[in-house]
Amino acid sequence: MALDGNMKEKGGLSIGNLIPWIAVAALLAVAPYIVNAALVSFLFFFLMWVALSQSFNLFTGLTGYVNFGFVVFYGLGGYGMTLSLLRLNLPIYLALLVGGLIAAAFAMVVSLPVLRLRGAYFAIAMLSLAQAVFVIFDNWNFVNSATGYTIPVQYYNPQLQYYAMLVIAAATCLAVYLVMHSKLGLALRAIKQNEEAAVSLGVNSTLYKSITLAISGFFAGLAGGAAIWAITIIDPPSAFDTTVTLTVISMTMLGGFGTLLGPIIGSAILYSVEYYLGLTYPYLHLIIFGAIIIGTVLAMPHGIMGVLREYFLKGRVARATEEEIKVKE
Amino acid sequence: MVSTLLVSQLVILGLMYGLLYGVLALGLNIVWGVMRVVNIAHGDFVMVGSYTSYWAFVLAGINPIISLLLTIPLGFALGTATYLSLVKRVQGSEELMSLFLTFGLSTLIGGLLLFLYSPTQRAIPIYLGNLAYLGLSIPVNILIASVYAIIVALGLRIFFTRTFWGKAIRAVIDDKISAMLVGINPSMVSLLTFGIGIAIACSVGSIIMLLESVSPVSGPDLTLISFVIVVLGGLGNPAGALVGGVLLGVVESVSSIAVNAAVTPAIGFIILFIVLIVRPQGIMGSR
Repeated sequence: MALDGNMKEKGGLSIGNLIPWIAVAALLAVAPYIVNAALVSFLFFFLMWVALSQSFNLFTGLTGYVNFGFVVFYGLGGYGMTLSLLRLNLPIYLALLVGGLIAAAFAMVVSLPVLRLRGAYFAIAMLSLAQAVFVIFDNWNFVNSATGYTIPVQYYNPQLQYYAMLVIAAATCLAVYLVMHSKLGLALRAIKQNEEAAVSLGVNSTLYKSITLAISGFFAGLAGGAAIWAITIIDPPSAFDTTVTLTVISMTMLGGFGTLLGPIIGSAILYSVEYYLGLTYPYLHLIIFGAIIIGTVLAMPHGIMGVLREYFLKGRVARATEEEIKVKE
Repeated sequence: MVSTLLVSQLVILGLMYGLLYGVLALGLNIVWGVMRVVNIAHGDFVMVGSYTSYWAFVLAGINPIISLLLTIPLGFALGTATYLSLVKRVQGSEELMSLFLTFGLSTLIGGLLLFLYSPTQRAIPIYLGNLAYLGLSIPVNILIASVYAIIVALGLRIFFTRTFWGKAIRAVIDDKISAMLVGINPSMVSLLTFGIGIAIACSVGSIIMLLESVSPVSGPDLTLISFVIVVLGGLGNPAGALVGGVLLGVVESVSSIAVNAAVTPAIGFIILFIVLIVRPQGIMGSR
């Protein structure tokens, strides 16, 4: 497929490719010293959505398996962080790490049975799994059941939280990049295009898929932990809210599945929409998200990145043809 | 010790709820079977039916049973419109696309209902009393729901076995290519199937108003329950949907003796999970 071929082409980790990324990261790093608190909070949640949609993209974008239960990683990360902070008195960074690891471990364990399923069956199994985890947490005294927890005020530190989320978002983007350009990414691309053929050529598809799901879970868990640290409240309905899954799907879909930039672009656009509409018209953003998903499926299934790439490819083909004509003349 | 009376009461209630579950899943089942499209928005169409009945009751005092006359044609119209404008365009492309499309549709409908009517729980206060027989007590509301389920199932059975288009739908479920070879127009069949599927979904929405309160966010849960039933009963098997529904209904109802009622919803998901892993073609399905 032309779209995948092009992605590999610009793979080199050259200085020229890195400059825009470094510039953006530097800009985000100094942001807390320049802009006001409200904007820092906006950027914090933007980074959270980048991390979440990027880790969703890592699995669904690269394998083509739709993870409708994605929010479970976010919630488990949040609970893992909260419990190890409050019960084990771990330092916050360690607590965040525990959250990510719990989500990754959960992904690894469920992937054994679930990844035997394909297509819609996989999607539904993940959705039902997330719902089951929600119901269990809602009734489980060990995690304070429906009441949940409040993170004590002494842990609250907007600046530290912002930098933690920045690091997590950057690490997630880096992970997606590394996976895409590794042997794992190659195997995933083969699985996405034709799983039977890949398996018959000796690709251990279950192993690769479960590793990828675990990586996706790890980063989503980290982001979930950092988010709960800032939100300071965690209870089952908010930690396992399907809206999170829905939002990352919309963001990744709009930007473009299986691309590095897509989820970032999607997060920037849709989080801004949600932020500005949510204040005046609650729930209106849901209607817009739904319309965007439908519109993207029908009009540009490869998202904004797909449209851009097609445009630039066309330009390049046109230029190449022009040159060819000149040479002939 | 749990008394026999309590168990039989729970089994009967579960059976009746289960019949309604079965009909809830019927629409999803035939759409999936015929079109290979998993309609994630199924439960949201049920909610459209519920809200229509709710407002018909609040604004005009119309009983939800009467408002079936409203929700069935509304559902059929919505279904055919959705098929022609959206679903038709992704039919035949990757499964991923139809999953995302109907997911987007679900978000859109859920968002619209939330935006228009807020997340408040809505209920119609109609209580029709209890029937007592041999020490068992059966709420008339549930009885009506299960009778409605039986009527729909029988009606569909007659449609599927006696009419041309019904047979055409079954033919497409069995073997699409062969059905096309003998001159069945598959897009007409898809249009009809989607229309009927959504009409059943909307009508179940009216009946649900007899039993419980709803809110715009109930939709996805209903979709999930329908999936459980479709997977239990087997894909493209309308009779299987009823069996799956009854099975789930009875298990949920009887398990309420042993576990906290709040955990009951998880039972369905756990059953679904186990069935998907052990026997993905469903209990009655054969593939």
